Amino acid sequence: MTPTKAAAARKPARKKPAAENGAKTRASRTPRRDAVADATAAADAAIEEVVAAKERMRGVAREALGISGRDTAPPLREGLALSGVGWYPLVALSTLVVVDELQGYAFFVLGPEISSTLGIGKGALAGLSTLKILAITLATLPTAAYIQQRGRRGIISIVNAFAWSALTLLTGLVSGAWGLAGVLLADGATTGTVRATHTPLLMDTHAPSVRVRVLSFYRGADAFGNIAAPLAVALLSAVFGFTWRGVFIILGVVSLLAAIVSVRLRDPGVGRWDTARVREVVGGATAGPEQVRLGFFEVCRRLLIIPTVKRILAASAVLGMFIVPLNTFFFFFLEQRWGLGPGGRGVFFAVLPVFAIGAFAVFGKRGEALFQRDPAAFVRASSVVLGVGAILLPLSVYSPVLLGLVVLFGVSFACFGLLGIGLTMTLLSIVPAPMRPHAAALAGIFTAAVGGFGGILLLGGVESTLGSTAAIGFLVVPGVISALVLRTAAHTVNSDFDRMLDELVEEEELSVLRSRGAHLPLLSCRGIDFAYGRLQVLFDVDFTVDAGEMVALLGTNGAGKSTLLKVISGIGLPSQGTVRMDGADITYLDAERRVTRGITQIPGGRAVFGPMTVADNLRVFGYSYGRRRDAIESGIDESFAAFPRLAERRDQLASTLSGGEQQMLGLSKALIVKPRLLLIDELSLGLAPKIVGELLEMVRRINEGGTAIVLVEQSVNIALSAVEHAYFMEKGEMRFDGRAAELLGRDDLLRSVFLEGATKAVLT
Amino acid sequence: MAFKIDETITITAPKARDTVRLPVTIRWDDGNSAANLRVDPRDPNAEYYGVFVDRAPLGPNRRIESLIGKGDSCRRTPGCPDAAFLARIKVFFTAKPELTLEFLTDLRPSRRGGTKDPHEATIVRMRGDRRVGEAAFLVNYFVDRT
Repeated sequence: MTPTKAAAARKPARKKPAAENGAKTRASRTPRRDAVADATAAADAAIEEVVAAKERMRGVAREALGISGRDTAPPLREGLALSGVGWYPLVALSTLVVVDELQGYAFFVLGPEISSTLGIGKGALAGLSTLKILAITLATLPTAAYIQQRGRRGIISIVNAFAWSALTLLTGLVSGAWGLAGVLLADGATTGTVRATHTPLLMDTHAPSVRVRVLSFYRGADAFGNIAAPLAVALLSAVFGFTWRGVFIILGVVSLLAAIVSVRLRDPGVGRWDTARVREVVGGATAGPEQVRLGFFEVCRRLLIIPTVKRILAASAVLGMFIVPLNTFFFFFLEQRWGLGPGGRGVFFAVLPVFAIGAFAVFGKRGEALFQRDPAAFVRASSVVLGVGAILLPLSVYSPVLLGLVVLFGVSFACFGLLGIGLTMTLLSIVPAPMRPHAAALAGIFTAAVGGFGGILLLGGVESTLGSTAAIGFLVVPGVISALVLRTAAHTVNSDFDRMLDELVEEEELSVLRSRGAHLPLLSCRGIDFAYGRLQVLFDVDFTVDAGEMVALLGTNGAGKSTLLKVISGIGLPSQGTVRMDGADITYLDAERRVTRGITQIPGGRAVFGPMTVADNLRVFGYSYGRRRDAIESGIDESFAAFPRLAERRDQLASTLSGGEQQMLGLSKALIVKPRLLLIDELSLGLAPKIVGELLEMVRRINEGGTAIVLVEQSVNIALSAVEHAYFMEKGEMRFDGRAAELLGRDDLLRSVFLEGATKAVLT
Repeated sequence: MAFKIDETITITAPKARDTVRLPVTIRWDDGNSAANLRVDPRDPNAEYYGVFVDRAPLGPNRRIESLIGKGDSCRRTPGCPDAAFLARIKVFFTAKPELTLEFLTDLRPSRRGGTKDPHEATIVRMRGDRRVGEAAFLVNYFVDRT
């Protein structure tokens, strides 16, 4: 049983501890605690309302995003009309991708002429081509970072088109290797920009019900470019007698015309057909909770923990292993086995896209219907397509007749084209709209860099010892493996799609609640799953802390308490679930950004810098969290006032302090940083009762100052003496959520802690 | 910069993608004139052909000295680059529209790739110690290694 299945099996036994323990009530000792308890109960109710809405709205949201469960798709014309944009964006972007093919192919074919004109060796030219691939690959990420939630993809596409037109013109005017390198780098960057811009723009421009066909059309245009490019180069060069310079100048002018065609492209807004539609079905709130924008690397990190994304990127890498080095090896093969010269090879590669275009035309509507019926079936079909392509391509090189080679290779080429649509559609559908450029960029990197360079190394080794036929034949191994890997994504794609929907619904529900003036808790963790590698340690954990509240998080050793703190402080990312602060989603925010939002953790053990003095430790706390010098000095004074023993040892190395003094120093961090939420892990570990009492008194004082506190303890007596509300964890699950006094009456839960303590006492 | 293909020189042997045996003679027709040519890199008016075998030619207007590598001992040898050095780096100068190559390095990527050994030669125009213009004439052929 997998960890997730195990968790699912265990959920009913654990689910809803509030019901198990009666309604969550919080006893009070002071008026302030009364207010806190009331607010927390209201916040809990708000969050429960969101959870309930999320489960209720999932089906509606799926339908809104095109997963109707029915095996039908509306006619393309109807879908485009529904999208309200007509044919123009699709035709404009498709035109641009055609002219991009022209420039790339021209450089590829005219390489020998460029080499002999400029006196650049083949090795140097190959190096420049690699540089261009590198530029394509690297440009995707900064582009994704730039356009993240800016909604300027239309204008970027237009500027990009004019830039690459100018670069194509300039290619025809270069006079040496350095000039060529500069032009190719810049041209690679523009192509990379296309990768991160066009498909997310197509997804946001068109309604979900036509997206597979839109992508098929776009890919078909790309394939058409593959036919047009060799014909254009052959026509200009062989028929009209233009040198490579002339060819690039003319292609530059053609690109310029295409760029002019694209000037009316506009960005429809990120998530126009996703976030907006979910907002409509949820209720259409206008004022949402504060949105936390993830940084670039936070987005990438968040994407890389989505199971389906991981599988798709693995398949993309293998696809790159096929596509990128294939041209080189297949050129050698065609020459050696079939004696095809440049012209014959050009015709061969110009014929292949015909197969792809035919496949796209047949696949479009069927693929659309399949995706709308069940994304898992769509992924399974994609894996079959990959498997067929991966088998036919290596098989083609053993064909005894050229026609057999063309047909087998053509069908294989078409399969990879369909796979490209399948991977793009699936990948961009299961990630939130603002993260689509990042996802497209990552797919490009995995295809070109990981797969492409890996393939060149792998096939280069096989080719040098066994020849080009064997090298191409060898591709069946990674191909079939990746088809199997992709097939596993069918098991995860629906849950990942639902997770994306849940996040959208939750966001919108919170907007609605906020607009109604509902109180939201300071911290709210919902449905948290966390795993160290394949070992899942947290299972569907819910945890709430309100502003100014102090709660205890108890449990046996290894129950997952410290792991939950890691998830809250951002040191660990959950594989499922959300962490919200004041209603804003901070689940994937970096730890340092959480600190600036007011979350600080004092880790278990001795949380000090041993080789530094006490005073320096305190200063470092302040500097690390970006506090002003005067605020730090005042915090240090406050710490010394609170812990006079630290003042006495201000110039002493922290490593020479006793355990209790080190914990005091660690706790002083809170006095300097002044967080809104303080997470304290194992405050009492290995300390004498008197010292623990002093530390607890300080914790209470910090709490009285308005800081919410989560006290993680193995010692039940210590924790429950300090708090009104407690959580109890066991084996990664939240087993109790209620009044501390009630927990004391739960022998079934506490026995394990006491027994563990007793065992330790006997052993020691 | 040339935007139309220069067709003044036509390589007549070997034909593109022909398979030949060693020694191989490369021949070409020069539509302009081949009458008053002479190889003399020291005379800025002397015109001749440069044949670059299995390597990139000189860049346009580049000097012959630029063919010498940075650490090459030829730099410290009086009279270098001479014919022996140039032959070593597969560069040949001739006033006649032909050149015979006695030996060629086997360039097959692997012995399993067949008996056809791929080669190429690029012919450019030279004047004095420099390449003239951008025109380059390239032929690809195979040497039979059976």
